[in-house]
Amino acid sequence: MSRRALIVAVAAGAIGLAAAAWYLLRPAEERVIRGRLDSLVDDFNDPGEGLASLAKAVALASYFTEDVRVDLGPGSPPIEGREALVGAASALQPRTAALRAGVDDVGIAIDDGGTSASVTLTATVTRRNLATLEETLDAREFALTMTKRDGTWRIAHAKAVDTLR
Amino acid sequence: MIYGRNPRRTAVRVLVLVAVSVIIFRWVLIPIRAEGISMEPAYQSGTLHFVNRLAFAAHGPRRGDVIAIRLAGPHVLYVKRVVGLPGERIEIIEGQVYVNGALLVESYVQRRKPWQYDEVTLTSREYFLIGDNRAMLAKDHAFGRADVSRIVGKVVF
Repeated sequence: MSRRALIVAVAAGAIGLAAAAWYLLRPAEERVIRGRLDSLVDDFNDPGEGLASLAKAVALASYFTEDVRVDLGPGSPPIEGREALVGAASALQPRTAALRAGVDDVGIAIDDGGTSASVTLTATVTRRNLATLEETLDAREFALTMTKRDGTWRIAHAKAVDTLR
Repeated sequence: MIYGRNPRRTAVRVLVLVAVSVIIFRWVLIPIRAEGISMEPAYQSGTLHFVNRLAFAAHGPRRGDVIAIRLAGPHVLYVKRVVGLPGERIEIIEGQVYVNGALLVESYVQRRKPWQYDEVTLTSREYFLIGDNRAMLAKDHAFGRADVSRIVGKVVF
């Protein structure tokens, strides 16, 4: 191997190591929050049937604080409380076979105390027309406040951000 | 396999090509896939387009430009047409857009529903954006004022 090739190989290796280190050494809490959001999306996308759906509803509730508040913007009344939110989610159940949620562009800022975090993200919902199999995508930006209680991160407040006002 | 007469030179060329492609398609000309019907008929759902991030380096968006704006980040974008520029007064009456009180001629709109939007004066940092498909219900169509900081670039083709 020539000297130049060796330098290129070493540089590439160093970049790879730096990328791996950055990924592994990111603040642990940030990774935990991302994991929670990913799990929330997975549970929403797989509502289950029969008794399993009840278990999923309980699981969905666990991602939110008891006094969670969801502000969907002008024209929609806020959803207050975990029970009301799970009820609203349950109302979607007959349609969820054709709905797939996702989150993108998650930004996390953990407060100094380490028990509260501000999260921004883009929530996407893909609707599939079961008759035509045509898919449409809706996207909405949200600002979340998450709190850590009993060692678990939960969503305390979700506010839809008006990208276009 | 064929590496050319000088494999080392071929390798360098491939590396340069890859690097240039990464730079162009990550930071300059971003590929996007249109989703939804709000920009029909100009942009059909499922079609591939490119956003030029340098298009507004020398000047701001112009009326009629189709631009991409970000939501929480760069991976999901809205694509809309500029109908109002900073400082202008915008109003929609019966689906027709009025700029500073004058009717805006929009040849790219084929059918309109009678949208209503009360007059608003844009700040020095705001643009008014709407999709071309006005046959949709206004409540199903994201449109309105966007801050200049949200603009990612111009949709070029």
